[in-house]
Amino acid sequence: MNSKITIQEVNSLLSTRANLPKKTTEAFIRSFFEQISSTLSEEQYVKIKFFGTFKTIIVEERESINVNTGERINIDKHSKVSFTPDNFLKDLVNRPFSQFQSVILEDDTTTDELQKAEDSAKEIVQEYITPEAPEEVEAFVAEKDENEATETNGELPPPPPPLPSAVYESPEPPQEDTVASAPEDSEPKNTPTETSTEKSEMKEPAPAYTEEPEKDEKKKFQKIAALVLGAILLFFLGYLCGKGLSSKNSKEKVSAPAAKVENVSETKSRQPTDNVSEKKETAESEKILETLPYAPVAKGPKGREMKITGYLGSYQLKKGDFLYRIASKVYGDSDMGRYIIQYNNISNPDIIAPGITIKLPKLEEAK
Amino acid sequence: MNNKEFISALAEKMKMKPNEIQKLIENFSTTIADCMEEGDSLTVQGFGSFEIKKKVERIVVNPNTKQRMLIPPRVAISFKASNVLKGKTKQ
Repeated sequence: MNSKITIQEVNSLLSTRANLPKKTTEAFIRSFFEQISSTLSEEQYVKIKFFGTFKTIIVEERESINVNTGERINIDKHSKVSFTPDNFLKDLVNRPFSQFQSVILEDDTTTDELQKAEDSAKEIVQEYITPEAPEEVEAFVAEKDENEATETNGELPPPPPPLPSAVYESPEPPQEDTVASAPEDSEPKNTPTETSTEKSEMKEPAPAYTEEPEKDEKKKFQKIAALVLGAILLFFLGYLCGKGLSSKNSKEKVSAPAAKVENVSETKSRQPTDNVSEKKETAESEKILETLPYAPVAKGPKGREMKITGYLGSYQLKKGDFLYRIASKVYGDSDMGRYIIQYNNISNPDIIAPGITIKLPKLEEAK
Repeated sequence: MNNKEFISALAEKMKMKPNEIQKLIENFSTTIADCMEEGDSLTVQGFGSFEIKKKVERIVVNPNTKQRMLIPPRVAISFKASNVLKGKTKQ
């Protein structure tokens, strides 16, 4: 990987491929490049089918400033050689990424475009995963929150008693307005308010909840909200599954808010979902994850210091994965890629082989 | 010099048929691409080096229609001429 290959190695490969003696192919390669360079010294361009076009470009004289001394210097008129690969060669090299296509972005796509493009590019993959993916995410967020949840559990009656279905039904419209719609509006745009709440939630989730407007009925509200959001979540999931094969744009629009709502509801509906997710969690904690967990970090400038506080899970790399892309998926910030690199002792992040299992660190803002 | 001229010049040098040369070039390109796909770089003495570069995805805007497009990531070949070739073409 990433080594320099010599023309001798190419030669031996070529001779086996073309079924010709090595001598012939070696002579061919040598005269091939000789012919190009001798032609380039006389003519403007050489066009070779299946390979590409070599061109000599004349660069006009220009003035520049020596960076060290500040002196003005003249760069003489010179020529340089450019190479444009033939489509044949281009496509061959680009094979690992050939499934991607450029996407037209609608005017109202204000969400993280990277995420969306990725989703649409892996549409097929996603279609299979969609029924399970949110649940796995759920399990993860729940797991993450569980340590903190114990604090809140102290305040609240530990086992949430099952509520009668009448209560369960009646508060639905107001809850949906107050809880579900608010984050839906603010979150896709990644506004500062959202990041600040995220911040506070990550650091100390318990106080964040006490700050909720409904202080009097806090406990009751939380339980109800949890149940209602759980119901909405299930509805959304069912809806998504049913809509699985519909057009991708609309699907994205639906799935993006749905995912957000899930995240919000997860944090709020810990108690009820705990029972469910705990089972999954025990099954999942050991094995390698199919989908990436989602544990967003607080927004901030590039290059800020973070602290590795724990272990989030393992993930097996697939072809076409980038560490920085994984970072942006898991932490919501591609800048966190360097912590993945650090955590796994990767010496050269540009060369990662598919099949390698990486560990994802749990990150927290360093103070 | 176009492809036809190049092929015939090479065929004359190699004392092979032009269509054989064309076939060889195709095989040669495939071989190089196979090597390159794994992230290797190919250096040809006295000519230059070919290497692959990963290009990240980016958003472009069509200035006429103001339409935004997301260009997916891709792998591209880049060529760097060696000093020998630079000296040859300098005139």
